[in-house]
Amino acid sequence: MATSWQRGVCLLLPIFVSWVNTKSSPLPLVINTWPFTNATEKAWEVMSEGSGKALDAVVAGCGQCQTQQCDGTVGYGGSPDETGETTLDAMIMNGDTFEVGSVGDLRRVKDAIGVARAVMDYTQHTLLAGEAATRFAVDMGFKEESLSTNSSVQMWKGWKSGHCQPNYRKNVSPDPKTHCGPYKPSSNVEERQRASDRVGRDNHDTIGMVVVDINSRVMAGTTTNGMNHKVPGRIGDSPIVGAGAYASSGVGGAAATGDGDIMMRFLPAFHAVTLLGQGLTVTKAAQVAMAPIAKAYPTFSGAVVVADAKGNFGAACHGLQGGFHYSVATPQIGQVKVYVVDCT
Amino acid sequence: MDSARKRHAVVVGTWAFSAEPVKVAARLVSQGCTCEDSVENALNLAEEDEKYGPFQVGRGGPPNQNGELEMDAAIMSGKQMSFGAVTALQGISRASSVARCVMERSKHSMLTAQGAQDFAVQSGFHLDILNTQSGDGASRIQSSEHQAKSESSSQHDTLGIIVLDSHGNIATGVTSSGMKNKARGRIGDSALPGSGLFADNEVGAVCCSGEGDQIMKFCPSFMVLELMRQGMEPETACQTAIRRITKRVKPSPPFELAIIAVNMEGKVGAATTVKEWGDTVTGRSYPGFPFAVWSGIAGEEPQIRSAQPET
Repeated sequence: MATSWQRGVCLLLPIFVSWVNTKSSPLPLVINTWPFTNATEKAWEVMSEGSGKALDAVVAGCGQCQTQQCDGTVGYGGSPDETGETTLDAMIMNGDTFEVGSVGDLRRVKDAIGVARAVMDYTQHTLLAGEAATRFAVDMGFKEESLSTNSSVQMWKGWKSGHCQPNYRKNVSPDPKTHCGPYKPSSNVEERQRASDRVGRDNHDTIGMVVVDINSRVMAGTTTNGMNHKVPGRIGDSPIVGAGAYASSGVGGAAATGDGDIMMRFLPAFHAVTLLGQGLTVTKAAQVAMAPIAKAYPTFSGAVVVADAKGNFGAACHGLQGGFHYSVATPQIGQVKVYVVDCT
Repeated sequence: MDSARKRHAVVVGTWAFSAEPVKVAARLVSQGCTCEDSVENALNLAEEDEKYGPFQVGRGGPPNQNGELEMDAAIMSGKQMSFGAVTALQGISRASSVARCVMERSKHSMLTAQGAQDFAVQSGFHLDILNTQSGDGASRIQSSEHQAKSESSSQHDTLGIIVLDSHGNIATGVTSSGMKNKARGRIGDSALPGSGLFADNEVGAVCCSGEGDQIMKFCPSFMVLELMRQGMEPETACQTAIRRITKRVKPSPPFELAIIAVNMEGKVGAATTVKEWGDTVTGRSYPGFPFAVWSGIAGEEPQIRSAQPET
């Protein structure tokens, strides 16, 4: 699983799709984290249909990744929590109206981005979580089914038999570095650990997508199954407005991926869009948004993709060996293309 | 950290009802407690006292549409930007203490719903609020008097506390039972970093209160902190954020939003869209957004100041 993205790059052939409008136009634009090119292509297809709406494109693109279980870190059947259950986080944002819908810790429903959209469309709330989010989804017509697969069950069993390593507990007894739970608080509380002992790259991918239409309207979304072996109930950065993604029509959009527990405190997506509003270029905005995270947690790994309303795009990353790969489609590029940016 | 320069401690709380929690934090921080301990204890006072229920805080707060009490709470420390939050937590009144536990005893930032409750119980918290899922009503451990009062309140209050200590550390925390009849599992802005709260020892700390489903779309706490980082005074930064946000939601009337901020020099600022705030318990009403400030003199009572709505 760790290398599926690499295989994706190797196998990547230019994917020609039917392009609308003038071929030299930078808009519409689809950009998403990682070389999840099928998602990019799916979103592009929606934009190519004359009446294609950017919001629908985000849902379709992210939905494609959910169905295909991109890297095992998006959709069902991946990242089992301590109890072996897969739970999903997703959000969607309309940069015209600033409306947001998101779900966290969603259980037994596969289409997390669809449920996020339903939260936006059918409630006055913004974020629903846990069993209650499942109940809402079922009421809205989504199918309730197990998110476990043979692969996720095997992953969980392997983790259990390997003394539950790694896990996300600290300052508890028995020592979480060597033992499974149940855990009780230990009397000492050490200073917060640096991120050095945290997970590798195969454990924190998220698809985050930004779509800009020809009228510079910006929409964004994310969907993920979070961290392998997370503490049950954990919500990461993906469904948090401004952390996982942000969109502001006429300005731009951004989406983040990486070590969500750390990244959510720094609102990199909101930060990047704010900086675009102040006139920074896409690349500079991405870099400046990532800088404070790297400063506080030098060993964290993560990335942000940024697009402005004119169709300029860029990315920045930290701590990813071999750089960060992301996928883009515009009429100018003429195909879905994977770009790489070197990390700081 | 410039340890040679002696700073003075400051405690600020959202809304006039925060005077007592602010007093608790002030006493603790002047006794040398950490700002995280001071924030947590101040929030606990309100969480465990039913009289804060009408302000959508703690065990006396209004139930969700299933008749259950669900809390959101978070703590953020400006030192290393540590953060812990619990959301849609049932059964435990000291939600901010569970949030602190997430910060200190897990590597995650936020736990929610059943997972949050399980984590709390494993960590030694007792279930002290009984929620039943009988469908149409609550049978919570709560006096009917406070229930009635909370029903009369239509405001979106929450308690946010900022504590700056004299060693150059700052922390902030927020606790909320959320709005009455919210959907089960609904998470508001209170416990979200950058929306309900934000802290950074290099700049200061910020807390927001108001209509959570709207607030979180604009990350106002993060926005104010960044404006302060660029050199704005806390007051100006809060006002600027309110103006930017209300400009973006022009078509609809501005939603309820109140912001408090403290910088590392101990300067305090606030701004709001609220024209008037009525204390449903004392019956007293205040123009604008009243907030409580203790400015670092041991033994002195917190003052209530008011921010007037931005036009």
